[in-house]
Amino acid sequence: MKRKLLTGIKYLFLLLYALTCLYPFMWMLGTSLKTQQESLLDPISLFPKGGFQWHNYIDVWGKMDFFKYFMNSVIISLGVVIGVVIIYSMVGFALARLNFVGKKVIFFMYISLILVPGITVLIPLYINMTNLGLDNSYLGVILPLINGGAPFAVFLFTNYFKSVPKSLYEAAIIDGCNPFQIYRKIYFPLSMPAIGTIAVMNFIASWNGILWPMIIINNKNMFTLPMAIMYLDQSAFKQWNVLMAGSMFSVIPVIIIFIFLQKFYIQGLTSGSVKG
Amino acid sequence: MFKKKFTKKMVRENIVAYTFLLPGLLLFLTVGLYSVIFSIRMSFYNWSGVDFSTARFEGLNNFKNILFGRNPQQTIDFRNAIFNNFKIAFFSIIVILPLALIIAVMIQRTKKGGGVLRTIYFIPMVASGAAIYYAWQGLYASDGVLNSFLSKIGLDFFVVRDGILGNPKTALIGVIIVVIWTSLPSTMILYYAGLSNISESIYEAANIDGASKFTVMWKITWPLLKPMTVVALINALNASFQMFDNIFILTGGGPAKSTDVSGTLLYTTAFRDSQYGNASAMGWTVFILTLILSLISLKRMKTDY
Repeated sequence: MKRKLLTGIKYLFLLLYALTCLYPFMWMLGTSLKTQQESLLDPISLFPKGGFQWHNYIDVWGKMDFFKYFMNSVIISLGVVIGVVIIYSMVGFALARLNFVGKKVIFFMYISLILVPGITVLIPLYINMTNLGLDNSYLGVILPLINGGAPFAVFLFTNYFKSVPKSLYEAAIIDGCNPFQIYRKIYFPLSMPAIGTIAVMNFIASWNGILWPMIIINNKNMFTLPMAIMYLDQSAFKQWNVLMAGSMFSVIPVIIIFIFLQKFYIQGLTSGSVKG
Repeated sequence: MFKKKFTKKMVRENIVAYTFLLPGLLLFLTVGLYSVIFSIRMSFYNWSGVDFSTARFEGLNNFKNILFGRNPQQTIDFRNAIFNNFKIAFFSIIVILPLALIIAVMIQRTKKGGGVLRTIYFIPMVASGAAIYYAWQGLYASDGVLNSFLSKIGLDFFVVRDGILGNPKTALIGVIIVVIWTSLPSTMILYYAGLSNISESIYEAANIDGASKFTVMWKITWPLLKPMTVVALINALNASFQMFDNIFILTGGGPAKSTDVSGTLLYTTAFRDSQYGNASAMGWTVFILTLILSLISLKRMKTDY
């Protein structure tokens, strides 16, 4: 009996915490479906009493070109993911399987990159990118974010490739493959779990990030979703319903991706911590 | 003859290797290293942007400005920001560590619905960007959810008239709650992973010896999870000193600088006041500070194990 009571208390606690996690999202959804008046007069209720105002979503798309911002975010996040995966799987392959001068230096160089706080190098990055004529361009946003993803990706790819039996590499060499073919046809396809982890971590980080895009982009056409939401907020007084409708566009995709690929995300969190 | 062939092979392998490294190295040199060196250099100059040839070498003056009162207001602001960083780190850590451990232990033993709950617990961390910070603003606002709720249940005394984030006395508490809400999952998963690595036989042995649940937790689980705690501590410290997005959207550092942290101060110093040199000096001071703190935590771990 006492045991049952304890289990009940445990579940109550776990459910309460789950509710705490979800509440802001539920409020966001509820508010996005209210009329403006209702969002101001009755902020508490999660279900709009005056009917669901689905047109808030259409209004937000009409108010500014949300499709464009959505696509900008998609292009930037995918660009970062593709760049990180390709560039650092190559680096990882070289570090794990090839012998070359300066190997230790290069590994150390990438790992120590993690110590440099992003915000410290913000100003030179901005100046650097502007000098290269990359301000207000996809590449200007993407390149520094790729470099920022380096430490984790290099670490994970190197370790992953090291765990692939070396005999596989030697057998392929004997069969007449060159290292490029081995990388492309054997090692890269084999590293799908590592790719998944790195892809999800980087996608979520670049999808949510605001600091760097905010600095390098000032052309409204190049805004990312978070920037568009911040722009919505700049009206004279807050239109909570419209602001929350816009916010939903940025929250939903990342939640969907997480639900489907959470295995990779959680792997990333734990493997990222071991090196700490 | 043999030796010559050998070196030829080595040269070839080096060429192959550097072909693989080339894109990554180019990016590192142009984006990473260049920025780091430029940033260090800039911290010794007085410069308001545009053309670096207009910059004036100042030696350590920027550091004196922000640290030792050569520019009194800047020193006050910087100390305030660092102090806020520490407050956020401290109060979030003392809540997050025990709570994350409790939840991890509970969920590890949960068969029914454990997977779904775990997924839900992660959503705050995954989906926290500008959008979710605006939702928090809505909860905290003067006519927002929290205040309306308090006055509805008759606790008017607790209503914060300017909103939680609009009042210098409560804004930092509001921010810390959001920080806890978003960063609890990462610590939880650390403990969860750590718990899965503890072998069942230890618990069985303790059971046979008649140890109470509390004793098991205090004498076995907690010490075995100590490495995880150290990692969680370092992560939380680093995260709090690199914090920007959440504060920038929630409060912008206000009201009256009550939530200003080094990140937001650096941002305004550089991009609003165009004091690039001072901003860089702040950045590197924070870097050295977090490096020292991380090393101390790591060292503690090493001596304990």
